[in-house]
Amino acid sequence: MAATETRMRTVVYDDDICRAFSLATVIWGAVALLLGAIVASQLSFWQLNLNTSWLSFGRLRPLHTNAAIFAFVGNMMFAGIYYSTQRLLKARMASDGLSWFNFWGWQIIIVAAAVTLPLGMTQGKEYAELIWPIDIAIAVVWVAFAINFFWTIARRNEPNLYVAIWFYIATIVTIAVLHIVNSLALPTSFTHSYPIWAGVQDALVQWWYGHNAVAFFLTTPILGIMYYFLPKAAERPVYSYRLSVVHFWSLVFIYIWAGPHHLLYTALPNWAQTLGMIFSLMLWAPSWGGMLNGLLTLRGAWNKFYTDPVIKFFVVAVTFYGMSTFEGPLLSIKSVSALGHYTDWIIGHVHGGALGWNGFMAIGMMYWLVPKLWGTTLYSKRLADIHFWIATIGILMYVVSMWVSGVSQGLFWQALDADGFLLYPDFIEGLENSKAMYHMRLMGGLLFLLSYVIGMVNLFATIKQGTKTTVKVEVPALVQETVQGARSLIFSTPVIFSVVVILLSVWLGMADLLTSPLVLGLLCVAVAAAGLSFATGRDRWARWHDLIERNGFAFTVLVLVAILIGGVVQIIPTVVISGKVPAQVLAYEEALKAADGSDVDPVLAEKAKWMQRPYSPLELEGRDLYIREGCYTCHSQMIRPLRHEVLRYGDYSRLEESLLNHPFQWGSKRTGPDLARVGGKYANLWHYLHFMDPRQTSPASNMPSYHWFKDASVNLAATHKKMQTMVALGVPYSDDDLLSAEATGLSQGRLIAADLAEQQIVIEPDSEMAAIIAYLQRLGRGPQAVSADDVATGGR
Amino acid sequence: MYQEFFTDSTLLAWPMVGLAIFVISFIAVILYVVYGLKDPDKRGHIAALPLEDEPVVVGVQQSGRSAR
Repeated sequence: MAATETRMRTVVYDDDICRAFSLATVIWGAVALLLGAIVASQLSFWQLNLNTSWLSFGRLRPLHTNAAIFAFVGNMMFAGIYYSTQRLLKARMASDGLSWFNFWGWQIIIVAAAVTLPLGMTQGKEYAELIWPIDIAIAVVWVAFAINFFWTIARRNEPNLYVAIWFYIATIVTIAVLHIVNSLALPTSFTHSYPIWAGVQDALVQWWYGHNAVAFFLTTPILGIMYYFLPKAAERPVYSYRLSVVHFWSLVFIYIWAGPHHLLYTALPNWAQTLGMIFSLMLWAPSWGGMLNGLLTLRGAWNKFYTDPVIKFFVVAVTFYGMSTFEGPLLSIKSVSALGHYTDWIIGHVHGGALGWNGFMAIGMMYWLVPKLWGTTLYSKRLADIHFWIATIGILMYVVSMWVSGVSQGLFWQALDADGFLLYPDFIEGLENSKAMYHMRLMGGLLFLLSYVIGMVNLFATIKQGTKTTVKVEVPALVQETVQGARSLIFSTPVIFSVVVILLSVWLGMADLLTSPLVLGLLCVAVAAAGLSFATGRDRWARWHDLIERNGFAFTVLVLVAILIGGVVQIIPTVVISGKVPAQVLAYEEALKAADGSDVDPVLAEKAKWMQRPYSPLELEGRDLYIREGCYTCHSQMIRPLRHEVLRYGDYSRLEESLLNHPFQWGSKRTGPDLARVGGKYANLWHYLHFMDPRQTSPASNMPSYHWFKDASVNLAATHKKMQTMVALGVPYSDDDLLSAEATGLSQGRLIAADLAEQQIVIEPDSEMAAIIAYLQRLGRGPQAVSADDVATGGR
Repeated sequence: MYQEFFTDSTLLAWPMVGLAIFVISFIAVILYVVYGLKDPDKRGHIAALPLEDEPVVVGVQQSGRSAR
């Protein structure tokens, strides 16, 4: 966009919106940390679940993570973006109405989450638990924020877009794509839905979302904030603007590919796992480039570290960013993942990022921003220093305890004796060994919470002694000539050469043996011509990025393309294969029936062994209870093809076993054992006793009691509606299945109730207890229809 | 099992194409950073954007005491 400075313009920044988001940050931060302390205490002392459904760990843990991510960091992100965007673009936000819609909409969403999650209304996908009406509200509010942001860019008075604005653009575009794709679901009621994705598709989409929620909600906007507020606090420009450009484009391109590192050794196809691992390792370089750029910005100003609490918090935050982005790629190496996955090491890693990077950046920013917004100075530097040291000790206690606990768990689980069998076959023994570290984690979390309360006192005292400010500036008005800029961009030499080279590369990949030499020759010519053009006209090439940098629309499109590439090339092949497998399974089933049992093709028989049949109505209701209670927060359903896992849990999990699972429940943490093949392992009575009081069957368990399953009932009369939704998603229920859903469900429930009655236990056939037992007894017995006898006896 | 589906599939060309686009774009960014941002004045101007002062502040009551 060519620009000409013509006249001066008066701009009054909208700082009321920044003040509102700042206050929300401070308040929701306390809520998120308090919830964290509560769930940590429940892991240490199971009694603190208080035998109350809406206070149980499985329901509060998602509330804690959502509060930390979307309420605490989300509000902090908005505060920082609204403040810095206006100043970097030298323009007031385009619409005050949209700004306040953004603010109140976001707060209502947070309150809705705080009400629905403890009530068990969840979609059962980590960091995406919120029910579909809230998901729609999030999309609407995010779009309003995006319109306001890009409208402000269009009305700006500064021709250059500073790198912080690039990070904000990447955040807005990518979060919109991730949220929409991962939240696609068919509702069965106002509070319940099933995702359109199933099994391995759902796993890939979920961790594409989950990993990039970390990347584009917890990292890129905070990096933008770092690139604005750190130079402000240090009173010197960023160490290397060139490094920040490389940092930005590398992160945007690489991050989006790394999601599958959450699924190493699972049933995800190997090629996708390998891509995820390699791109995660590649992230090391740009992340550390960004960290060094942040720390080196303090060159010549390190004395401020001793005197300025803002710099203190920023330095530790950036250091934790470096630590977390070292640890993340490390954990993405398959052999390290084999040890660390499902253990507390991951919890330590996450909290290094959340408390160290996000938390300290948020606090540092607040200590800088609140005095500015209220036209005063910080109430007490001494209190801020006390806050800093207590918080730092708290984080270190938290992270170190989780490292020790996590590595110990990994080694404990995989330890084999001289004969190659499990040295510690009893899972609960490992949990007992972790208890001391759980207590230390709780103390670390409580220290961090205490320090935060001190920070709150300091900030509110600062607000009390100040007065709201209004900032008015005179800036040169910018005349924008966008049409010429966009055309120059599209037909610029680098774009033309890039498109030609990419098209030839695609052609080469698809060419047969005869045409590939020709295509390769053309590709070489194109690359040589590009090199020649660059050598003779570097200015032409250099201007290209300048045009992008000044053209917000073109820049946004490029970012969108960059983030879509990594997602599309991983997700589409998986969707294609998953779409084919159920049809193949049914075809094998038919072929087997026709083969009268005596002349069965062995290959066909092997494949038929893994046939999937949908859950029975009662099992489906039980599965919904499993999701409602957040069982995935402590139990996985994915046995990795590692000897110790197969010995402990049974045969490793196959891709096709979860193809009908909307949503997948592979899990990411094992506070309790894997449940993928728990079906038939224990009697119905064992499950009943375990749910009523887990200590009856596992004395050292820290699992809450789920006694409410006994008295509450499932609505089997409405189960056919859920099954109809499943049919719309491709689950092969027949018309008969739908018509007889209630009767079938009750029949299966009666079998379980009758079995328990023999042990003098009375439950209703449509009780939640019958449903959850039916579901658990089904797990891992995929190919076989669950017979009445099996259900009644628990497979004994 | 069904993971074998990919052994005969052309779908795995997709990640390779994506990788090619990534490599080309990365080279383009490096070239821009090395040559396009060669001018220190230009870099300096953009890098200094966060440091530009806010000259006029109205409605402030400087009632705050010194930090301690």
